[in-house]
Amino acid sequence: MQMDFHYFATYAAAYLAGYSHEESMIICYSAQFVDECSKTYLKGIKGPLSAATTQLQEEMADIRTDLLGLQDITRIWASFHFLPRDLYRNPRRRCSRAYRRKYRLICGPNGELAAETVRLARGKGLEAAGLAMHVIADTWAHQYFAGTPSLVINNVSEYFYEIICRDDRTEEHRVRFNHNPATADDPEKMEYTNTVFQDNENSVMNLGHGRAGHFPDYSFARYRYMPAWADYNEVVKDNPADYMRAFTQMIYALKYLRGDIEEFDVEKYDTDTIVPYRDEILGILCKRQVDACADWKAFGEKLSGCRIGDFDISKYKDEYLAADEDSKNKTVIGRFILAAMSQKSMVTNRIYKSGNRAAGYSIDIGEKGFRGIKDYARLLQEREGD
Amino acid sequence: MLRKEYKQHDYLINTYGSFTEARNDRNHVDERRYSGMLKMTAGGTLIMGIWSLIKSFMGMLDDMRSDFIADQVPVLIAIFGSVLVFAFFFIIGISFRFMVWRGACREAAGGKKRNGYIVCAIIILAYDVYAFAYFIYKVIRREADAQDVLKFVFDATSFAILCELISSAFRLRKVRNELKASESGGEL
Repeated sequence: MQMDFHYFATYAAAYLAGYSHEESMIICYSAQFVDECSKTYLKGIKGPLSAATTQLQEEMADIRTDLLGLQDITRIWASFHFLPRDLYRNPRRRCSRAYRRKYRLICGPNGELAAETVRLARGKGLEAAGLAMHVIADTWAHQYFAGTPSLVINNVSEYFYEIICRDDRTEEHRVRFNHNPATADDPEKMEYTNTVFQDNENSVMNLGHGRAGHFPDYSFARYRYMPAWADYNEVVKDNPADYMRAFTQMIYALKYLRGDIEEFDVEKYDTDTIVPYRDEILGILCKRQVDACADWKAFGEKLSGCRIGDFDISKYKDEYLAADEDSKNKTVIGRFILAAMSQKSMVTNRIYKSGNRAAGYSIDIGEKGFRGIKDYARLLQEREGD
Repeated sequence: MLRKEYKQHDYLINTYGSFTEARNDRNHVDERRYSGMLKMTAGGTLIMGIWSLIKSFMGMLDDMRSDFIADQVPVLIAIFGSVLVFAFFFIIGISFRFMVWRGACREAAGGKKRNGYIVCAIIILAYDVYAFAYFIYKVIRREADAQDVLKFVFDATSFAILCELISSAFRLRKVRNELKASESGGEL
């Protein structure tokens, strides 16, 4: 998903869930900030590098793909962008342990981790809610891909067809990707880019949905393709339907985080709230455009009657930099950092407990005391303070 | 299969379900599997052809340095003979394999099915069988050296790839016939 959904659509979901304009702005800022909070950014504000929620292309170009590098990549991408659906699922066919571990990291919605992500954010502030909404939304968009570099999981073959609905007819067009990153996607001309094929299992070119280009990020896209893990079975992805589910699940989750609902369960969607706006939302979702920011912004502004400012990464930077050490955790970025470390810690722990070392080691503080990455001491201190 | 009753947004308004279904019945999965294998083995056959050409060229250079050619055969005849041998290997090694690659890729992509490339594949297969027999003959006579072992490994790989290619081609045709029959209500 892109800024159109993570920022503007999240604003609309928050407002529909009952948050005020100001609260919704912080929630959508935090949701979009997940795609911006890289180690480079954190170095710039002298923040803890362990709170990084994404990796920039420049960082990826220089990244190591040895064991520790792969674990770092997996911690970031599996925690925030490709939340695993089921850490204990087995492939249909017999396979090696290494393959099974990667297979279990395949992202999908309505998993136990998705529910834990939302529950974890409750009572942690608007920033944690925004971060959780990013994770939830991405489970829909990025399903069938894993947040770890893997050719055998994330590769897609030439069997890739876009399904286009025009005038009550459906057409299927074979998609031929190009690899020029300077070329923008053009849905009208059917020009799409993806990452270059690399036969190295751990190449970063095989991370996430890179091999399928930006298709999972476009709300209008419908396509059929053959994932590498599926053993010649095909997957049909209907993004407008999935994005609608994501939107309604976000409203439901935000109502839970707001305290309107006592329990959060998966497979539940707040479809009633969107009834008056359903056609308008569907119109935005189905419109063939690579950037739906303007449409979502207009929709959000119509909902609240307030102006939604464009996303500005440095909006809360000065507040964080000006705060003294003791009060940094009370700023918007400070609370976001705590929420990010909390989410990363939870997901790493669950992956580790499932017997999978793909995201590294996780230590139970209750049994062995605090060890490992010192950045997390900040999170522990905050919890003790609570 | 696309749902026939599809109308814009209807699929979302009622069920939030998907409007298309993945074609994952056995025949469709097998069709994708065998066409993928056919294409992959076709690529392997072509690569083996290039390697075979390099091998025969190096073998020719090696022969030209032999004492017999240097002492007994006039230079022009030696060159002419070498070119003939090279041309023969070129035809077997590259042209046939190119035809196999082209025919297999076309069939894998759903194009017209031709038998010519399968015949070429069987000819190369027969050559590989001859190479096996010759290697065994040399082993029995204790004349095989490291180069022969390498050639054997190459021929065995080529043999395996061609067997898979021919098998995939026939299985793909069978699956496609079954699919055609099921789509036409059981009658071809």
